[in-house]
Formats: sequence, structure tokens, C-alpha cells
Amino acid sequence: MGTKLKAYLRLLGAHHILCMNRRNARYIAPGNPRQHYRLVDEKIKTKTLAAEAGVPCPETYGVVTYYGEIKRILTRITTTYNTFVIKPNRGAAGRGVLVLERDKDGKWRKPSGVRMRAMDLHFHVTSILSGLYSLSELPDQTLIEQRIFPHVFFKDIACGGTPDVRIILFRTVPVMAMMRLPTTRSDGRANLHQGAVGLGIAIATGISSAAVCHNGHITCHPDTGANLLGLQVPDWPAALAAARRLAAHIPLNYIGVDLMLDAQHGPMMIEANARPGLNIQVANNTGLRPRLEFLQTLFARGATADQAWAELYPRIAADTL
Amino acid sequence: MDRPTRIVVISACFLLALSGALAGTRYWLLGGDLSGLTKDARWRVNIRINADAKRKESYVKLLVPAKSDAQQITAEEFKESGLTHHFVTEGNERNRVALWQNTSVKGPKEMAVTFVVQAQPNQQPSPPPAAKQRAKLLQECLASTDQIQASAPLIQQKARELTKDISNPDKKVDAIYDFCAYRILNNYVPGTVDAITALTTGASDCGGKSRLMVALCRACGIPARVIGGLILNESVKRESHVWVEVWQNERWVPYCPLNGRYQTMPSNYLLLYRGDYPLIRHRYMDALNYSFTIFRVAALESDTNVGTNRWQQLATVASFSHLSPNGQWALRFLLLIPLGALVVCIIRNIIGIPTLGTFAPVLISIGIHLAPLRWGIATLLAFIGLGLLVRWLVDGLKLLLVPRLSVMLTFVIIGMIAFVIITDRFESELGVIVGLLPVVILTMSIERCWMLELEDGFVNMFKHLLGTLSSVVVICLVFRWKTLTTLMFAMPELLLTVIAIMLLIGRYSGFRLAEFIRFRALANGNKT
Repeated sequence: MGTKLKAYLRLLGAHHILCMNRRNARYIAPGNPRQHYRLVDEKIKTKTLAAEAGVPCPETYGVVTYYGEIKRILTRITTTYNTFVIKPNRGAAGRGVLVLERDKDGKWRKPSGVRMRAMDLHFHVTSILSGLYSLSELPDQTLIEQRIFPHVFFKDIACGGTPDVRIILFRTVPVMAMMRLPTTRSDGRANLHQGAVGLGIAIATGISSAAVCHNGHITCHPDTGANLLGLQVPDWPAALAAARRLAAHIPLNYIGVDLMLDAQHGPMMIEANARPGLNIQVANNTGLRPRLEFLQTLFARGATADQAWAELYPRIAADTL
Repeated sequence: MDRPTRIVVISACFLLALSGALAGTRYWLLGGDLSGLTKDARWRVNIRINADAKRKESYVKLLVPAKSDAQQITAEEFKESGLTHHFVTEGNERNRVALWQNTSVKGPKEMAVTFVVQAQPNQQPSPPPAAKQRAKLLQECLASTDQIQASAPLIQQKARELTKDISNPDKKVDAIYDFCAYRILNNYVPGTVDAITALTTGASDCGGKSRLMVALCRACGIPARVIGGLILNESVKRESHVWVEVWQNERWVPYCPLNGRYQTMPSNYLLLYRGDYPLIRHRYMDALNYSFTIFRVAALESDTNVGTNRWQQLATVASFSHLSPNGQWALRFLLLIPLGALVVCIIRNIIGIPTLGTFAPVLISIGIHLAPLRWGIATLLAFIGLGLLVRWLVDGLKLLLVPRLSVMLTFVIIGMIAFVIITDRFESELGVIVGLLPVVILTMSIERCWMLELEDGFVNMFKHLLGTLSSVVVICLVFRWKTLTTLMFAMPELLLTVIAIMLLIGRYSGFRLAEFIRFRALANGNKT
């Protein structure tokens, strides 16, 4: 037992994993001032920033702030569009996100086929407004926006939901990326702990390098059996550029940017996160610490973000950090 | 080491040194005896008697408590007008009697005795009598008397019936106790009730129940006697109390058939005398009236031995010993919160267990730590279960968040009312849980639990629930760790130590234990 534990600890140490306490104490507490959290916690604000930075994001169809407006706005949207997404302004981890589409009889359904009556939509919006899905359980706003259709690239590797790309940036330099692929097990949601596949993406090239599902390494998609390794993510330079532009516009040092790859419009910003999770290390099968610490020494020497990027990438590619 | 870490480590060391020095000084000044700072409840008892002396030879006798290891009596003070007092010792039980004798003309007289009791919690069996009186005393405790008719056929028959198939004398006493405590109803009856009356009417107060129990024991050949005393609670009252001691295994073992006390007595039972005597006797007195005035007093006053010299008084500076019992009681609860918060810091940042709400386990533990742990957890689970059931029922109604929480809250309250009624019926002290449970926090936890199940699945909800419950168990164990809580109470400067540990945890940037599981795929897989 003792030797096994020791070997285990050595392995974790060799991977230089960034753990929760270190992330909070070393990167989030000093680098992410609390007063700027709302810029990423509130999707409406993030979208405004994204627009300023020239980062494409889903079109906003409507914002519901008051209970009295629910009926009017829902009626307008259900008569104008055939498909749309309802989400809480201050939601987290995909909670409270409802995708709706009109079937051939004109009835509204979730992609899973579950029928949603007008009453159900109304209730969902009131739940959001009362703060049920809100980060700090404060009253919230409801965002109704354009639905993203996944890029054809995802045809065989995503089931029942929309996959997204998470890029973690430190002082506007992308340090690690992964893709979250929904599975039947995760019920269309892109959360790793619910059984979605985490696909590690080589940050420089956009080629998938490792995949995990339920904390085990895999090579094929658990539902379709499609190969997951060595895939080239489409529009990767555009995705990186979008994330960098957004990060440069947000006064937070350590953020995660979530993008979706739309079939027509390419990478689109969905949300940003001031406390991005650590599972990205499991998906990439490597730790964040060497990259972050390398960047810290570069910045301490007065390097710009572009210089730091130029120095970091060859080292990641050559695995010499 | 970076700058914030350095500052934190330096200030933590400073706080540790400061609190250590303060606590050490206090400990040293008191010569290692902290008991004066943490004494349990003390009660000031005032017994006042008014009577009209009809003759010059009138007297009043009052049974007053004797000092013993189980109860320390201090600051005894007599007041009287037109009378003199002195003490006599009566009977083989060696009861202490205050005797007031009339010294002047007849007329209205007033007499009073005041003393302070430092009762020890959970009074254990009393020590055996001295060998000299022993045989005689035990013989007396088997006798049949006017009030305790041990040889009456009715009592003999009942005793035989109750102990029919039992040979072990302890088991016989148990059967008799069960009968007197639970088959004879509690009912106040004016005047003195003897054993036979209690048996035939099937209902009695403390006197009748105790005499019946003593009579049944004596009928089985087991020495037993009536004990007289007072139940200490803040009040002005006329009722004294009577319970029982049974001679078992060479010791006097206490029982109270009225309040269901079995072999241990709570600290608020004040023993005044042994034997079936009236508390007050008199001769040639008229219109005799008496009352007991009882109130709690702070633990440290001039009459205790702590604080007698100037150094020891210095050691009580910035301690809670001068506060009223109510203030002390409140502080004992308040001091639990930082301890609980410290445990939460360890659970969250070093172990990494998820819980429903950060400090909810602390508040819940404050609610249940006074009850036996398994009952506390069972009660908590019952309320969470009830809340989830209600949540399930109202889910279809699609209520708005705040009214929905309010409905759940009200149902949880209804559950608690039922709980209080049930526990009250069984005279259980579990009812205390309910008064202290943070109902609102609990309801929020139930809602969070429900949402977790809905959004992240049952497994995740179960993890959080299990994490919360295990945190509650750990925190309860810390709260019930008497040495620790007493130390905190006696030396509040230890709060600085708590802060120092919190500061250090605040800059701990190593792995949480749970992360070894979380990142196991990384450790098991090969580095690419």
C-alpha cells in the first residue's frame, strides 16, 4: 500500500498537475480581481465585450428581465424563429440551458423529443428569473439566443447535444485546450463528470491527442465507436484568435473561454469562466503547472503576450517544458 | 516562498505564539486547575419559612443538605428573627437538621437559609455507609412502615407477580422500577400518598411512586429507601421532590420513578435528606408557610476557592467566568462556530469532500450535537427525506422559487412539530435537536439536493449528501469532544490559534486528498 501510494504520488508530481488549492491561491486570487467576475459570470456582459473585441457569438433574440415581459417576448420569439436556446444570464456548467425546436406539427420540442408546452416554457423562464440556476442564487435575467448547429466535423463524435471547445488562457496566452463531446450517458450535456468525453487538443496544432471518459483513457467514442485521436479541429487558428481577442478584452489573468464550432459561422464564443475547471488536465493527460510557471518567468522578464506565445508553443510541441 | 505566503506564515506563527503565551500564562497562574473557569451550573437556593409561634417552647426543624463529593454546598447563611438556630444530626442516615428554637415571646416568626450548590452532572450511586451503622441501617431499609407497607399482602402479592420468573436481584429491581415508573401514572395528589394507595389508584406523584417502589423492593428483601430533595430550576416554588435509592452491589443506586431517571441523577437534583421524613417539622407552630427560591449564579464568585489570591484573579481576566449562566451558555454555542469552520476548512481544502452549502454542516451540527449521534443523524436524515418528499410533491405544481421554498419550509416545520410532540410523549430529550436545527439552511440544502439530482444525476447528489453527512458526523464529534470545548471556553485566546491554522490552510496550495482520485486517470495513463 505504502509503495503503491508513493508511486502514485510520484506520477502525479511528474505530471505537474495544477490542483484546486494552487489554482485558487496562485492564479485566481491574485490574478482575477473579484469586481471583474461579473464580466464573465453574466453572459450578456460577456457578449457585449465579445462584440467589442470582434469575436463572433450567437445572435441574441431577446432578454427577459421582468416577469411581466415573459409572455410578450416568448410570443415574439416563438412566432419568429424555428429553433432557439433559452439560458440563464448567470448560469454555470450548462445548468438551465434549454434548446427548443419546432416540429413539423408546429409544436415545440427539446432535441430529445420531449414536448414543451407554452406553460413549460413560461415556467422555465420564471425559474431562471427567480435565480434557480444563478451562480449565487440571486435573481437573474433570461437570455434567448440563436441555436448553434455543430460543425460536420462532429457528426460521428458527438451524440445528442452540442460539443464545445474550452481554451484556458493565462494573461491572454492560450495554455491548454480540450473539447467536450456529449454522449448518450451524459444525456446531451457536455459535462465530464456526467459521462461526456473530454478530448485533449494540442494547443499549437488543434489536433486531438488524448481522450477520457469517466476518468479512463479511451480511443473511440463510447456511442459511435468513431476514432477520437489525431483529428484536426476545423478552423483552429480562428478559434485561438477569437479566444485571445476576448481574453485581451477582459481584465482577468486566468480564464477559460468556451467556444462552439458552428456549421456555417465557424467558432462562436458561448461564455467565459473566471474559475475554469481542472479536468482539462485529465483530458490532455498532462498538467498545467509547467506551462503556467514557464509563462510566469517569461512575463517576469517583461515579455509581451505575443513573445510569450512564440516561446511557449515550440516547447509544448517538443515536450521540453 | 512568495510574499503573501511569507506574510501569512509569519502572522500565523505570531498568532500561535501569542495565544500559546496567553493560554500558558493563564494555566500557570491557576496552577493547572482550570475548573474554576469552566464550572457547571451553580444554584443559589433560598428556603424561607414563616410561622406563628404559639408557645415559648416552639421550634421548627428543617432538613438541610449535607456536603458531599457529589454536591458541594457553599456560602450557607441563616437568617431568623426572634429565634436561634443550631444543627443536629438525626437518624442512622445521619441527616443534617437545622433547628430553630423560639427564644422570646410567641408571635410571627421568620427563618431562612440560603446556600449555593455546585452540583456535579450525572450523580452516580452514593457511597456505602460506615461499617458501624451499616447493619442497622440496612435492617431499617427493609422494614415495613405506616407509609411504606412492605409486609402488606397487596404489596407482597404485587412484588411476587412482578418478580415471578426473575432470580437476579438487579433484574428484580429493574422490573419493579419499570412498573413504578411506567405503569403507575404521574398525577399530582395533595397530601402524602402511601405505597398501597399508589398501587390501588394506579396514579400518584413522586412521593407515592417512590414509596411504592421502596415497598416493593423491601418486599423482595432488597434494602431500599426514600430520598428527599429539590429539583433545581429557576423558580419560586413549594414543591420538593422525592426519589429512591436501592442497595445494589454494596452501593446505594438512585432511581426516580416520577421522571424516569435510571441509576444516574441529573445535576439539578439536590439531595437534602435520606429516609422517609417530612422536610419540615415543628412544635407549637401555627400558619406555617414555606417557599423555595432558586436561581442560577455565575460560576466564579467570592465563595469559590478560585480567585482567592491576586494572581489567580489575574488569570480570570478576559475569561467568561464572571458571566451569568445564560451568557456562558450562549458563548459555549458561539465558540463552537469557529471550531466547526476550521473543520470545514480542513474538509474542503485538505480533504476535498463536497458538501451541500459551505457552512451548512456546521450549523446543522450545532443543532444536533447535544443529542446522541446516531439519533441526531437519524433525525437529520428523516427531515431531509421529508423535505425531498415534499419537493417531489410540489414539483408538478411548477411554483415560483421563493413560495416553493416557503412551502417546503412550512412542511419541514410541521414535521418538526410532530417530532416535538412524539419526543415529548416519551419524555425524550431529543426534542432539543429540533429547536436548534437551522430550518432555513436545512430547507435550502434540500432544494440544492433536489437540483443536483435533476441536473447532475443521482450519483452526484448522493456524493454531496454523503459528504454533508460525514462532515456533520466529524463536526459533531469535535463539538462533543469535551476537553477541547472546555479548553476553548476556559481560554478564549485559543481562538487566535484557530485563526492561525485557518490562515495556514488559506495558503495551502498542495493537493486535496480527493484530487488523488480525481486525477487518477492521469497517474495511471502514460505521459504522452
